[in-house]
Amino acid sequence: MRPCDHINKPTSAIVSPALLSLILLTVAGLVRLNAAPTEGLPEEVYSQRRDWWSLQPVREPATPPVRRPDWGRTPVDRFILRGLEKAALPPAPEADPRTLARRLSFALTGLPPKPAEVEQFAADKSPHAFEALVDSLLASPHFGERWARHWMDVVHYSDTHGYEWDAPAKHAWRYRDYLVRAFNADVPYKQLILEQLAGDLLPPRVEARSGMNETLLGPMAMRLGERRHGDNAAAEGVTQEAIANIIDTVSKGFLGTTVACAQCHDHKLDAISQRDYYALAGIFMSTRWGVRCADATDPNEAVLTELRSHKQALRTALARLWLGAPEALPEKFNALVADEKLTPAFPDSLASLWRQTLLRSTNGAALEVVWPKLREEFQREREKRTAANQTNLTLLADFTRADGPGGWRWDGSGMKHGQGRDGELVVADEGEGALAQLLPAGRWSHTWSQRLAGAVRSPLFAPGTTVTFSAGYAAGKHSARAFVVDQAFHSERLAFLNQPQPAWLTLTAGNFDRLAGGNDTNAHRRVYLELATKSLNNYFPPRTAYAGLKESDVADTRSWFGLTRIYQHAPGKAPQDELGRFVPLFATEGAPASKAQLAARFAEVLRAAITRWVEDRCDSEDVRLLNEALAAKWLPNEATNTSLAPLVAAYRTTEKRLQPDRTIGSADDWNEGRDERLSVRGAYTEFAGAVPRGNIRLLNGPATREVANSSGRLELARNIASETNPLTARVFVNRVWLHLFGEGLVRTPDDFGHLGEKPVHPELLDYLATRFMADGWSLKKLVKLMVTSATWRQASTTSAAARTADPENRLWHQFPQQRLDAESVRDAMLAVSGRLDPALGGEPIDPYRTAQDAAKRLFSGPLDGLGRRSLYLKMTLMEPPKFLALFNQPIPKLTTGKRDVTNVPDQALALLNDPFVLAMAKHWGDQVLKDGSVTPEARAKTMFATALGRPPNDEELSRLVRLAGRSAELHGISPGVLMTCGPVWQDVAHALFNVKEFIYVH
Amino acid sequence: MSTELAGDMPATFSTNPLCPGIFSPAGTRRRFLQQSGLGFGWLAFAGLANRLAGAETRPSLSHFAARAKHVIFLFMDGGVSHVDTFDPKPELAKRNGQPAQWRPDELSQSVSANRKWLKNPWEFKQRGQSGLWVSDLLPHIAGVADELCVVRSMVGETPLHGAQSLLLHTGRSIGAAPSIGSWVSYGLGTENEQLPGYMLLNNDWVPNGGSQNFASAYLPATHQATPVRAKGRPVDNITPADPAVLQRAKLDFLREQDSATAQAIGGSDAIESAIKNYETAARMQSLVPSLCDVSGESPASLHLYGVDRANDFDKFYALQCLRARRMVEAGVRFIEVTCPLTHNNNAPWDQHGELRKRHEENARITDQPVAALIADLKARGLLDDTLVLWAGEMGRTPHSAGTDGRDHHVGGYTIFMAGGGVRGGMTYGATDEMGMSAVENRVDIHDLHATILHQLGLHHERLTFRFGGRDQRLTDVHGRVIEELLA
Repeated sequence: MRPCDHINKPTSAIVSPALLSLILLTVAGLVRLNAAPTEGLPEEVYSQRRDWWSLQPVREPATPPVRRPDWGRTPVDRFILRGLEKAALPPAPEADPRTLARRLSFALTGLPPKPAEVEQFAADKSPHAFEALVDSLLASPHFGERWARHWMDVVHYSDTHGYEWDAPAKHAWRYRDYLVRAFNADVPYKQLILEQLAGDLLPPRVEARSGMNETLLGPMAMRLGERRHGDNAAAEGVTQEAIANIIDTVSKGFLGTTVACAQCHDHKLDAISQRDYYALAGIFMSTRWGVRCADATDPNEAVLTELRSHKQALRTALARLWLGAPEALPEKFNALVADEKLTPAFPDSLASLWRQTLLRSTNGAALEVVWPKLREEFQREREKRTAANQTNLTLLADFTRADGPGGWRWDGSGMKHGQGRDGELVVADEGEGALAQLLPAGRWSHTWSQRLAGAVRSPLFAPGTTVTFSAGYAAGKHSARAFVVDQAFHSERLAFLNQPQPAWLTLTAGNFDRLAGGNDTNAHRRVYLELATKSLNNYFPPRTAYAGLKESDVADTRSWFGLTRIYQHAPGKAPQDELGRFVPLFATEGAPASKAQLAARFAEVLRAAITRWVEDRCDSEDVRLLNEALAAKWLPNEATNTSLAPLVAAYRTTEKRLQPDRTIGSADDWNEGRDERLSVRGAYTEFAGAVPRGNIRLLNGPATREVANSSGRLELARNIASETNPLTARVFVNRVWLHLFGEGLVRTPDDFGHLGEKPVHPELLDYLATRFMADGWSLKKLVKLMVTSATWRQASTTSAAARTADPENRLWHQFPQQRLDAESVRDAMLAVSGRLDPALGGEPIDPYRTAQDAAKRLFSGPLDGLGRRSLYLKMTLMEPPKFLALFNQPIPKLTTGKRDVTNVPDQALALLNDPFVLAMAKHWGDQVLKDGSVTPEARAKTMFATALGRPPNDEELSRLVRLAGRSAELHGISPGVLMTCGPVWQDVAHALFNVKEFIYVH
Repeated sequence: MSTELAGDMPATFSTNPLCPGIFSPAGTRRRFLQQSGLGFGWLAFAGLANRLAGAETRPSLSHFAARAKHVIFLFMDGGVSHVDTFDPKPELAKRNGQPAQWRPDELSQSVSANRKWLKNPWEFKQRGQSGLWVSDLLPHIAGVADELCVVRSMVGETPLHGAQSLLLHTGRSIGAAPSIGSWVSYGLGTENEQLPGYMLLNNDWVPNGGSQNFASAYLPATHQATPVRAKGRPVDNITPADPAVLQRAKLDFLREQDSATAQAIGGSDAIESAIKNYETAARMQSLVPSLCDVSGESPASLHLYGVDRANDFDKFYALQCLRARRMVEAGVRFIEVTCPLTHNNNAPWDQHGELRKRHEENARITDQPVAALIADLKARGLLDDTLVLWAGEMGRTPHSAGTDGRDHHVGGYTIFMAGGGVRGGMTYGATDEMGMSAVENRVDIHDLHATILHQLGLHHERLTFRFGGRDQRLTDVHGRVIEELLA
């Protein structure tokens, strides 16, 4: 095995003496590590590596002296000018107003400016005109969209998890919208760090308009990208791969540090050991990746109040109906024919008991002989079963009491409003019946509606042992139960539940590998059970057709389940039916004399149960009797019944007004935290000792004792979101600089370590970091500080001297010309053509595809994406939107602080021939026919300005008009009808989309 | 690194795609090229690339004399059953229906008490001069047995399609790494300036693992696969939207307008390069369709491949194989042909059930064209220069939970190569008597990759690209050239 061959082969000749000594030390360190791979870096190696620019505290630098203090608008410029003066280079002149307006619009909102706004700005001679323009763009709702997309590259945003089935990243779009809202509201970056790493552990930040707890949406940041199905008990490494991706994203994204590098061995050059990796792994392995309901305020209180009153009225009406005709019930029994076989087991329903009694008594003739025997059998059976239950069962959780579930947790508004007493009624939301059923006491997600969500999650089951238990439950509409092994939430240990009447669900949790007869390679695994309705189920929809699931089932938003009590017991010792509901039937010794008397007794048992229900003092056995009676249609329950119909209709109408839970894949800290064992050389099955979980040694080290039982995630988040962390602010301000200037001050934005590049302007970086923190970690203030600088306002012109002296523009002697990013290329076409729908947020829109793959839910959407911004196209990991990929939108698997910018013929082919481009050209060409222009010149001038943000010069205008003329000629159009001919102006529009200036800013 | 680690790698060893290994000098040349827009153009069009790269010099990436110049990868997506095709196991027939027992290992997915050995439904025979064993499932391929270099001891990492498909294509079972086709295109450069170096003869079918299988990842985007559809417009955006004269008018307008812009801002490499892209793009609009058009092929040629077959699946797979030969002739470096999915399933060859019916259907579609391709390449003297690889991402279990299906199997399975300087009519490696584990001359995907690169004149440890601070390789830190396979 040679995982580290590369260490001995530095291929570059450009190795500085300092780096060479580091490499030599590394090699020396590795030799020692081989002897004891888990000790961490040797002290001397650690301290040498610790001595690195980015790890020193951020200090506010003095503003440097310059020779030309008249140049410059902000302190930023002093740092830049100092560098230019040293190199004897002049800064470029200020760009003209129209160039600035276009540059600023794309930089802040990702959209082109409107020509009128450009001209207004160009005409405004006030010294504050530019600042006013900056402020107005900072206040635009599109600012949040633009900067959310930048951050989405860091967390590699995806709507699905790829791999084989492209399973959904559960409602990730709510996280995308959260980012848009947060950047628009200028929520401090420090707060956003805390929320994305530990939002589930923070006090709620309630968004006034939506009523959502924003902090719960943050942790989706850690869950995005490729995730495998299966779990460690099916195939080793599934969870470890996910954790490696989280560590990589968190360490690169927030800290510009490559900790994931140390999964198999100590870092080659940075002060990060393999122990550091497993310290972080312990935090993320202790975290559960559950789906959560993010409603902070209950949006349904008013509707529920109405439903409550409808239900009460219905209950009263039903009581009247059910008790109103006493003669009806005995008739129901009398009419029951004994059309079943004689069975030895004691019957479990009234109907079956009736039939068995008739069978044994020759249709009632021999009741006097049979009844005492039956009664004796009943008593014997009841005693036996009750005794067995007393011996066998240990109560694990009791959902009939608010305080009873022990370590079991529930979530979702269905569960929140779903704790009920015996006899709670469930109104059928469709169909012929008024009631769907009555419920025994417990917690039921569908007490009010099947569209409200519910989940129940168990505590962890200890590794290495098995636990058998039975849960009293009922469920339907593809609610599911799943065992989650080692936090892997796409496991196919998922079964849909379909059990309309309460019953026992008996399960065994534990080491699934061993249970399946496997070789038990990892007794360390931890398992929990999750029961959830669709919207709280991490793995819903699962792969296509899983367990017979139909796509119409996916579209149906209804789903429900509930629990009564959970008992642990030995295998084969599940709870037994104690038959309590038959006690009144056998209460008197005397046998019924006739079939009619028998029927009367049966009817009386039922009637008594109804009475107790009416008086709200029934028990679960009564509920069982009543549910049997409802199912058998012994009791009036027709939704069309004149006394029920208006109430049922009112309930059903009101129920539709309930707002379903807004759920999202998030995190929780319900596990008992546990340190992770170090995997020797990264092997998934070879372990050394556990490493105390916590931050990497560089940035605080192991968590304190205060987090003994928790994951330590909140503490980690606080370590990162800290003024004293040397990396956090530096890394972020560098990202912002990169997005505004095209390159970072540190040109490796995800790596501030020894493998990254050092900044040419370290003092400027520190100035920006200091100022950013002093300004309350405000992105908007930081952006304003940068774009109002003279440095940013330079023109994109350069001189031969500057090109020679500063070929890579590291001194910022000009504003670098930049190609628009993929989203802006597409969005600009939408905007310019007039097709843009500026709406914010919402569920993602399938990208247009040339072929669909229903098996992977890779569906095709409308060609123009309904005019929505590229941000809202569905990022299906298995096949991301092709048009965006052409222009270097990254595949969302890894953190991409800086996108590639390629320049290849297939981009030219797309701009020439892609159906989206052609559709936008057509849309625009049709729009301009109504623009009121009288001459081709006037129209061409407007179109040019709309596309490029500046009016054409004479030569450009005549060139464009010539093209229109040539197009008309080729289309066989006479000059007289030129102005009303769509195809000509489509050609002009198409040509303008292809002008290089259209996809570049300078 | 240390001697104590020598020996077989644990099968579950994590190959960490996130891990940079060694110091990177600032601003490498290649990254500059990639990002400045002067990339090795969609192929770079080598002329332009060489001219622009000029003093930067793109080093000759070939490390020694090549045996092959092209690769055709016939991807048998889903996993062909090895014990039903190239790896006969008489013992399976003897114990058919008996409870299957084997030593559990980390490569086995289905550990269950209720599995029984399942005999091969298709008879094995020795074929050709070499006496190579091929079953009746693949009668045409059996006809070219003497060209085949069969490896019976392939070993994967995880019995999951996504993991294995990515491993086979990129050398990593998860994460973002370039496809082998991209590496070959990058390593060899182009023979034809107007064509992509890596073409994917597909039909919009996204295999397990997603489009990442064919992506260039951190290599320049020019090296990603260009998909070529069997049916309909072969390549996206290749059909001109405008009549030629109108497009010419637009291109003339653009050249004038863009040149003026570049001049106005004192010159722009990016814009000048983009201007050139338009001329190349314009030429590709005619070149690529003509390459895909087989109407000029002789009736005998069409018949040999089976392009004249009635069934659409049969016809289009044959068409793609014929196009593969034309692409070799045109100088495309790496051509991948995928199988069509005929029914609702995870992947074409993934027969957990309906083994007989669906394996036969897949064989009907692919067998004749594959054999024709090998024979045709040989007849035209192209086989020596072209390495043909026939491989799925896994094999199938010799045992079954039923009587007509096999499950995922990576502990020992079969692939074959032909041409390109490998020995024909041979087998290498062996599985145990039941076809479970590779017990002799185990070969992993990295070894296969190393061997393919070797035949192309590329040393797998020296074909590198600096990314994330490390010289990345297709073979990561693994791989050995299997000399025994080479002629």
